[in-house]
Amino acid sequence: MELKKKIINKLKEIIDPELMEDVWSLKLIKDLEVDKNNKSVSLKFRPTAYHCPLGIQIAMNIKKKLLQIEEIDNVNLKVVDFIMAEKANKYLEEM
Amino acid sequence: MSLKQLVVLSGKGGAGKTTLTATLAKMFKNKVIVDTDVDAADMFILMKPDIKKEKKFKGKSVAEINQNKCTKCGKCKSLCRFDAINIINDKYKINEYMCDGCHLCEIACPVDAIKMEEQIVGEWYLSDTKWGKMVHAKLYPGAENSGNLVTMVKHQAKLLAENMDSNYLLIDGPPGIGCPVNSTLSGADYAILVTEPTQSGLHDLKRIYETSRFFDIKNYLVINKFDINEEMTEKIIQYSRSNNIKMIGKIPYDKKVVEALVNLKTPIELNDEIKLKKVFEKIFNELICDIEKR
Amino acid sequence: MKIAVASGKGGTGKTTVSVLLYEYLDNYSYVDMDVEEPNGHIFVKPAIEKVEDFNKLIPNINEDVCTFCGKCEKNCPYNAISIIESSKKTLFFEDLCQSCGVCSYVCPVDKALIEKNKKIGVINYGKGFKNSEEIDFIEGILNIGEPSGVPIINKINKKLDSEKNYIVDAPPGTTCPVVATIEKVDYVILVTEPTPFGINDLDLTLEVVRELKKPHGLIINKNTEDNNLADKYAKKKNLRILGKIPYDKDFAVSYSRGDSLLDSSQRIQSSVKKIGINLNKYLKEI
Repeated sequence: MELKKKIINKLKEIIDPELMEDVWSLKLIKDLEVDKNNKSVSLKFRPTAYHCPLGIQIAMNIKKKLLQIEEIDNVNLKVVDFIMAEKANKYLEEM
Repeated sequence: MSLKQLVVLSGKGGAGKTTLTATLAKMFKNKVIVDTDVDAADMFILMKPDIKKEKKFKGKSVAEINQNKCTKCGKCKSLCRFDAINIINDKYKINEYMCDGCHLCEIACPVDAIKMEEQIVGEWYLSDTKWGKMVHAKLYPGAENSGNLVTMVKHQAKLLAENMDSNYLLIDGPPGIGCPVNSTLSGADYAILVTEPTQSGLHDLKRIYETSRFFDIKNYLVINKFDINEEMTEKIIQYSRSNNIKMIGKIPYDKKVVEALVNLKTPIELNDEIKLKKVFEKIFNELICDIEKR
Repeated sequence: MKIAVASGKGGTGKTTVSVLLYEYLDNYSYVDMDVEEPNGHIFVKPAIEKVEDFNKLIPNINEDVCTFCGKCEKNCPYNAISIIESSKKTLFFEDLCQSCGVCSYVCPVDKALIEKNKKIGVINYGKGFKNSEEIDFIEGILNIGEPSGVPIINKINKKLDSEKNYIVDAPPGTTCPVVATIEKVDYVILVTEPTPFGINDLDLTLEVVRELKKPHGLIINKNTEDNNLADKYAKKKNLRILGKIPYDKDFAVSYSRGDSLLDSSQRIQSSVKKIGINLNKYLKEI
């Protein structure tokens, strides 16, 4: 299966606990780019609300799940449109 | 122009949010109409939406005890912090209204007799109205109003607005100051606080204003039925002045407003009531002027 | 006897009716469970004798002892805990915590996770304008920013004496806080105004009341002679009408000032009298 499709399928497994639907169907993922040769993927995540209380947790879950894909070693995930974006992005780097 | 969110709130119920929002909906161009009072949604009564899409909304899970496996050890009841487990007719039963879905009982049960069941707690709708597209929802009575359905409604409205290049989300909010109000305020740019010149009105205005201060929002004030107590009206105006809440209108106490509502009309649709019409037009103009200045 | 006054729609007159009944009926205490926006005190004007802090338990993780196994994170039903194992960090999202106790229960390391108290509101006890000898006013107030008033409502319910009589001013709406209030009462008075909004929301509340199998009756507030919207609805739903309170400007002005409601007008007084008679009749049936 093409790598991008694998990634999207993985994203469809990640459920936003507030809305009980996956982050891909909810259109929360933007600018998805796959670099097969460098085994990396970059993407932006926009939580459902600017003050979404689960923004950090969902972002960390997205990174964790994408790293589970065999062909992926690096995940460059940026959280946008979010009151704690700076904090979230910092934690993502520490993961 | 990027999408702007305008919410109408009051703290106190019955101050006139929905009437005002519905009236504004008939004056604003290029917007999506949103009703986030999912608990007791009323906008549809005046907007008369033609529902195009309907989706069920999943809420928290609720515990269920398998009576065949249950050994009546009582561990679940002793641990439950929500008073959701009762003994009825010598059987351990879950009170689904009190159950918070925390699944401590499921974890603790020594014989695996408890399972969590997903619940459908409401539904949301995308509709057409004579005055634009509308998103609203209905939470089933007795359900937990944790703001999640509000978040879904706003999120869908945002997606719709972005697709259509709308300028505004015009949002009729819920009463109170709790979760659903917070979810309504999140991401909002402007809030119109509607109040009435009563002790309760001022008291609740203060509470909703304090709530909105958690968010970075420009606040406006509308005083409804202002002439039933001009002294109180003055007090409220003073309060708004000292707190940077810009007053944009005063609506008089008028039986005609109620008459209009009973006939499912907003005040500006009363052709004979020029004075009343002008009041609402003034509110709209003051609002637009200030928003476009920023 | 515990009587709740509920309505679905805000602003129809729950507090008005609750205060009128507190004044008119003998030996009834006033309980304000609209903990997000309690207004009863404006009219009952209580002298507060006791203030009780209301707390919720929240977890405190001791990072010196914690092994960052992630069991608390995995089991927290509200996503209130996140563990970054690689940098040995724990994140706690307090707003999401519902004090369920799961984290404390599943933590495998002794003293790594301890629950501590956090104040989320108060319960006030006082004596109202009827100058009774004992406490006859109780109100719960939820701190601004807190997501749910249900725990305070549940606590107040536990404090009520089964031998005493209470008028309980319920929150607006039909969801959790209202259910928590109505669940424990003996009778529910539904209040509506004869408008499409009022009827729509009454319909939702009636559904909840009937599901909870509570005896109930209707008061039509802000009633005008030429408007029979509410009467038609009541007939259709087989809903008993306890009485009607007229739309009265003098009354509205008294309300706006926080003045005595029962004294504001003759018409109001006689309508409350009729309601009282009907209420006593139906309460005997329970």
